[in-house]
Amino acid sequence: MNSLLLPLAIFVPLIAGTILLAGRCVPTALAKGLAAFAFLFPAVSGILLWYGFDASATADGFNYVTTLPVGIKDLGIALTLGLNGLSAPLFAMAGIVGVAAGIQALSTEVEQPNRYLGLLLFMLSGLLGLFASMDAAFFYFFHEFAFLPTFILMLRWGGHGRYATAVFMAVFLTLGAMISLAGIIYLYNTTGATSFNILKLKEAAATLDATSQSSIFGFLLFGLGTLVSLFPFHSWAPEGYAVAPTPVSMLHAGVLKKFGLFGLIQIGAFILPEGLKAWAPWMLWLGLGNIVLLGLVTMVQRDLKLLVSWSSVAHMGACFLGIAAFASGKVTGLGGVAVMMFAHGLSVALLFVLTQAVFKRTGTFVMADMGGLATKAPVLAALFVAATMASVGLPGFANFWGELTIFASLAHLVKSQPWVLVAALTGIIISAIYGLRAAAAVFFGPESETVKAAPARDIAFGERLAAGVLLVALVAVGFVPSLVTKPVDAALEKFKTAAPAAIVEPAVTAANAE
Amino acid sequence: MFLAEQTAAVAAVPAIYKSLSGTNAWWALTPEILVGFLSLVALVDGMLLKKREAWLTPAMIKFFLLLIAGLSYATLFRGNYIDEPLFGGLIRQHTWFTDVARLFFLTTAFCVTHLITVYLRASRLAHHEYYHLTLVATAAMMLLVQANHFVLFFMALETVAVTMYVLVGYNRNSPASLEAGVKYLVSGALSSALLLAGIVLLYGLGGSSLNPNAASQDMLRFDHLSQFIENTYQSSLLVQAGAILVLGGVAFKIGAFPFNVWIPDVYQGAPSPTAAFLATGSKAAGVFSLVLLTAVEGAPFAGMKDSVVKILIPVTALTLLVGNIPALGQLNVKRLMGLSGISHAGFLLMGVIAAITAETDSAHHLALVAIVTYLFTYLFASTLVFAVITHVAGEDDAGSTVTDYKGLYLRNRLVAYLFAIGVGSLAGIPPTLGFVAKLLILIAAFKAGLFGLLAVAFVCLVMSMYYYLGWLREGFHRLTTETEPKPIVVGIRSRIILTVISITLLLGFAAQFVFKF
Repeated sequence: MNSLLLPLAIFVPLIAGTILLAGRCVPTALAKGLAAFAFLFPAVSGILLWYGFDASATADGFNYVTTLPVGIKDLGIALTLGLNGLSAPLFAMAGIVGVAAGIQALSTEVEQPNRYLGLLLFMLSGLLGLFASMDAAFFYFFHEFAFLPTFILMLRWGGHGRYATAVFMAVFLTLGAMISLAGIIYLYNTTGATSFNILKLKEAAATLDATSQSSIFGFLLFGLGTLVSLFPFHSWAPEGYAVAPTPVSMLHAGVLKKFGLFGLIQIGAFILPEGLKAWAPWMLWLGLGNIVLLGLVTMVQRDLKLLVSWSSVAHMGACFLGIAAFASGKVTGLGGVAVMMFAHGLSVALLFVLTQAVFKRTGTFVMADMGGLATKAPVLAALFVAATMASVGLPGFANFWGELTIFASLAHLVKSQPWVLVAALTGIIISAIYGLRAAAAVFFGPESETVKAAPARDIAFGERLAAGVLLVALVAVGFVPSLVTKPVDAALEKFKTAAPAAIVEPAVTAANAE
Repeated sequence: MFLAEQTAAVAAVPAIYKSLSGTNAWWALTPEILVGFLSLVALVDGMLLKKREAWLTPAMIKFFLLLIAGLSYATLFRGNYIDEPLFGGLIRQHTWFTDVARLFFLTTAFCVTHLITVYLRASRLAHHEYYHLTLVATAAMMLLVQANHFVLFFMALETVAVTMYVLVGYNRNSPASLEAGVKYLVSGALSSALLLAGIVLLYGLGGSSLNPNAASQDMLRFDHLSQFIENTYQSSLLVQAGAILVLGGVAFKIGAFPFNVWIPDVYQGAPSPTAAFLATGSKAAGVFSLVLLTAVEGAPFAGMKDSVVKILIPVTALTLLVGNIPALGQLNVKRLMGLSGISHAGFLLMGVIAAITAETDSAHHLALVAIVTYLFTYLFASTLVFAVITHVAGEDDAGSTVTDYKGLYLRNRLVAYLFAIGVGSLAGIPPTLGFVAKLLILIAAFKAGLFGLLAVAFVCLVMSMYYYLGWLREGFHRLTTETEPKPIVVGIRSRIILTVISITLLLGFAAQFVFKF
């Protein structure tokens, strides 16, 4: 039954989206009901699948493996779905952010709601497919599948400046996706693999020499790096999120972007360990670029939505540090990245919901015009402060465990490269500064003219529900991090044992020989 | 003495006739004969039918084209190909490849006929001649891909070219169309001259003392020429020059660099159905004949692979670039289709190079499959986009720009949907067939080790995303002005046909069947 749930979770939004897009005559109430069901279904099934994840499964850690009759058999492209320890929590996260985005979308008034919801469901379906796919060619497929609705949603329902930004973003993302596709085909071709299935690719790549591995990894790093907004390929991201309608920003910054990291781990780190080693110093440097340089850029933002967008870009740096730590044998680094991806997806989506709520109260995103909103909207203020704390990485929220583990895994650099730690810690301070400053500027201090003129309404029910879902998930993982770490541990188990074994093995054989 | 010679000559002539008639196999040309017959019926219709009944002609043509295509498709997998020269060496049917190519041209004729119907809806231009000429060109293209002899090759190519001259200038009321016709005529004549010069050069060399078999072989026959070139090409610069001239003539049809200059002007001026026919049919004819000349068994230039590839690689790279770079700033939609079509030609050339350099049978097969899939995809997507262009702009669409598409989704939802699928497929966005076709070409090129070209191709893919999505953006952009959008009316038959094509494009990953060939 569970193996049926996984494809269903992907196809329910797809089918509902098709009905909404095609059916002009579907009455709005029915359409909204259908959309609500289609948003909720993947979240519930994602959580069920995550809960029922069996760490001791065979199939190289993949559960719920199903192969659908889609693809090109002669080239070894087949839509195989399955979740491993890394993707199970992320799949659930995509579902949770999806339901929050759905609530947000359902509670906003837009023109042509049927099509708006339909396109959002298409996007959600692509995102879910992305994390559930076991076929490298379908990674690209689902990425573009999720991206096209994003593009149309931005153009139709986006904010000021959407006209130029949409195409700018499209070119960047396509470039990134193309480069990574080139890397994937390169891998497929060099290893002589008969299938794009990542397990088969892994088998075939086992004998690949270090040079080929490192050149393939280069493609993946820069291709997927562009999708994660790795410094200096980030310039599409902040504008892109700021212009998009809120549910789209939530799904894009929260989930779609994580795919870059996910691919870099599933294909890059797991299949090409030598390549990862060769590029680890680069990842360290560029990740620090995200944390420090883009952190500084975030500090000077004056527009609240842009600030949230920039901060989401800056936070991605920590993940690259974690992957770099994994390259030097610190398996915990990768565990930290997994938690961080999970947590950041939720917290950035939460910030986007609340930013939109602030905009509804004040009619502006400019922070200088706000101030003192806390007296009129105390619940909103409390939620916003909580979200800021979460994204800064305060204990009690899921982000804390991610950042803590990543920085702990970097501790071995304290002698050789202390500046890495210094820079990374500076990054935390920077993120605290801009987060708290934003919260202070919007909610505290004397009431500004705009706030005085604003209607005295606290956060509405829909927004509260959307924010609540995300916050509950953040706090739950914040207090019980093993929810995420257990499956992730299962995926990383073999590296823990394998890494020392590789070092010990020659000695043992030498001893045996004697 | 004299008498003896004469008797010998008289005895020799029937032997040739005997060998000709002995290898005649008219049944093998049934589809071509039927299409030719259909073209005549279209003309007769013009005399017999009243104006009110004019719609019958395209309906009948479409019906019979589907029937012929269906029959060809049904026999496609029959497996008992006669892969040997027929008609005294004029024709050779290369197993599945020829059959798929013929099927492709039948499909093209169907799509173009439909576009003509849409185009001529409210036009005062002569109807039946348009259909007639299209079908004549189709039959010629179908013969072209079976040519095994330069005489047939040239005749077929010229038949296509001459009908195209007329079709490009078909809209006599439009100066743009006439201008395009003249431009196409001049550049087409140049390319025919090049082709002919190349053929003559090769023929002359083959009959010279360079060739030990000169007396017993026909140097216009591909298989005979192939043996000659394989033996001598290293030593003879002239052979290479002849080959380059022939390939130049073919490159004109494909629109490859440096024979790409005519494309934007001609596409812009030509009536939309003709532009679509040039983009799909004519280009495919070029690609198929390039494969026929270089990459199949018994191809004349198969023996000089190395130098052909050496020429084709820079040509392909430049074709990709000269297509994409000017397209970045292009606002006229038909010029955009032309320029992006050059880029698609570059992708097809990449597939051809992969087919030429393939060392194993499976790699060769993959490359040919990739080419065929790409062509079918391009055909369907272009049909949709040109249908949308015609619907948006009407008869005189030479000046139609990207900004005319603003708010298209408000004018007609179906047209906007078809537009998105068509342009999305041209851009290669999943889940469209366009993505699968591009993926196949890229994999074939990877297998052939064309890394330099792949780098150029990836850059070009990103560039193409810019202009295609820029165009798509207009269609889905919110209108800022308050003017009431002018609705577009689409007939019921058009709706059905275009929707079916769009669904075909959407089912990209059901493309498994292409590997059955």
